[in-house]
Amino acid sequence: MSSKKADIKVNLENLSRHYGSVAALQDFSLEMTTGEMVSLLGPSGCGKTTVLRILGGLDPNHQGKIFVDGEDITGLPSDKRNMGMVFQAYSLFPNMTVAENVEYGLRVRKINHEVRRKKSMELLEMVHLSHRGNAYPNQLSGGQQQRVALARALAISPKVLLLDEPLSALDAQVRVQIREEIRRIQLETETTTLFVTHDQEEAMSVSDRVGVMNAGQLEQIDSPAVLYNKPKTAFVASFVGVTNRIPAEIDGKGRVRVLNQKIDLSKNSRSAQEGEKVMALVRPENLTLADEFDSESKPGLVITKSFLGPLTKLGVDLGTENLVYINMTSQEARKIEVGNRVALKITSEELMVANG
Amino acid sequence: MKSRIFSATRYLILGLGLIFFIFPVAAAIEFSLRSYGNKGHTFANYSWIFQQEDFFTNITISLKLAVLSAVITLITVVPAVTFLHLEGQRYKRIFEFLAILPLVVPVVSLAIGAQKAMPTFIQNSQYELAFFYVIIAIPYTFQSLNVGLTSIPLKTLVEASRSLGASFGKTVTAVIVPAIRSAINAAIFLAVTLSFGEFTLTSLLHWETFPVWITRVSQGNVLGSIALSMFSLIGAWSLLILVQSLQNVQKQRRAKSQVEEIEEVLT
Repeated sequence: MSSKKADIKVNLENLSRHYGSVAALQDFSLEMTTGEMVSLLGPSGCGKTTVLRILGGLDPNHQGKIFVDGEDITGLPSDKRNMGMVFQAYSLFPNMTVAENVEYGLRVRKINHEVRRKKSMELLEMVHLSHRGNAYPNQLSGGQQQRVALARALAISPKVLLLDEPLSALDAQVRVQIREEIRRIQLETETTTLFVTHDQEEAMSVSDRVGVMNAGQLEQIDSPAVLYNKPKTAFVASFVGVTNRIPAEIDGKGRVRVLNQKIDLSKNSRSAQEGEKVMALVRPENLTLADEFDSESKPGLVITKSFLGPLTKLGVDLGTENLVYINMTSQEARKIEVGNRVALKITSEELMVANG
Repeated sequence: MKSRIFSATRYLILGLGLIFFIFPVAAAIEFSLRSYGNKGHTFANYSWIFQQEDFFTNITISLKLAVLSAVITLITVVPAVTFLHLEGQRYKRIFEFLAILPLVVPVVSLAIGAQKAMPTFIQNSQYELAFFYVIIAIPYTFQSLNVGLTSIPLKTLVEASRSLGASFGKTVTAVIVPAIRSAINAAIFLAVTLSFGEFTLTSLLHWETFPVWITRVSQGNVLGSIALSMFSLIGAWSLLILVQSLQNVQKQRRAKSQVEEIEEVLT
């Protein structure tokens, strides 16, 4: 047995879930190693929460197999799976204090009162809320409630921690703070974690691997850097990060003609016929300003200019349906104003294309 | 200026509400203290109550029936409405309609039809009334529980509890019931008051409970019957206030002991 095989904590095999004739999940497979944090990212209705609920035992009406630590747990009810869950909605028990909430899973397991009180205080310490142990959930802010929910889920030393969009109800600043805390605690406790989110920044910033889902299927799962730089499908390329869709045409030699340039077609790109009208998918950072007389560039008019701190984003009208966005350092952008004429050039060596 | 008008209106409405509520009760109490022949106020009508030989028998049976109705409501209606919220959302409207039927079905039909449906051994016992009282109270108890369950994120709480290892039974007793305690208290309150005061159905089925007995004895002593009604009203309120106070004391004790425990762990 290879070491990777021995290290597999979670193995989801060919999961499918149908609601009547609608397939919410189709043939979904995923392996997670011990201590790994995997995020599932995708638009609403893509099936990411369905995967999490199936793994947590909250949706028994599915096909496929679930293995945790090599054991088949497909038929086990949720209360026998030992998985901690943090929900999108605040899920603290309103009749219990913060400490009682954290202790709940241990109380169910009939753990000695002193042991569980000690454990709950340790966990509350970890989420910086030890001073609020005897407060009730309605006395806490949203961020504090989710931190308590995290402590509660960790109290049972779960085999897998399941996070179902736990940050989506929080405001932007608190969201960043809590997601960093989640990652710190996850690394500290080495808990295998499945994190479901529709926010790509959230997924990319805290995960070891990110799986992008679309229409009930896993399009690609890779490290955030690979996912961003080497998307395997047009959907991933357009869903992850900002992508310009620029009208282009396929030429005869496996290349794509765009902005007066001829660039190789990515091997991950779909096959296309010569002369076919397509959309080239180009990241803003893969565009640069060119000399106006450069024959391998296209001129346009600067329509928007957004200052983003170290970077500035320009929106350029190249006469196409949508503005084309380009990122540049704010220092470079100082000399460019809205209304200026600029020429754009693609710097990447290969491109993906989508249907035109 | 606006807030002053708002404040004055609020007090006016509160005052009118209190008058509406207190005035009839105060008038009834005053009436119950009168003596025959206008000889001033006296407690004679209240002492008359305790001299009636059937008083304790009837108040005891009514109290027993009230408690039994509350228990049946707790063990049947609470889980049923909870289950409806969790698993039967698509049937909710049908059940909401069915729940108001006891208000529109004539009591005579209910009395005869429901009694026929009862097993014989219950038909021969006065305790059959408790089952009918539960049915009569359903339009109110159902709504009270419905509102209570709608006000909490029931599904998430159940899933959170289950994922932490609790069985469904444990989840109901440790999470759901405490979370909707005020709705359950209201449902119990409604079941108790309705069963304690129910007259028509009991009378139709030829059973004697406290309200039926009051009606019978009031034919011979009008002032005494008002004293009886006041006695039962004040008695019921005192009971409910007592139960509520006991719950509050218990809650305060629990909170205090938690603070002490946490302080102990921290030191």
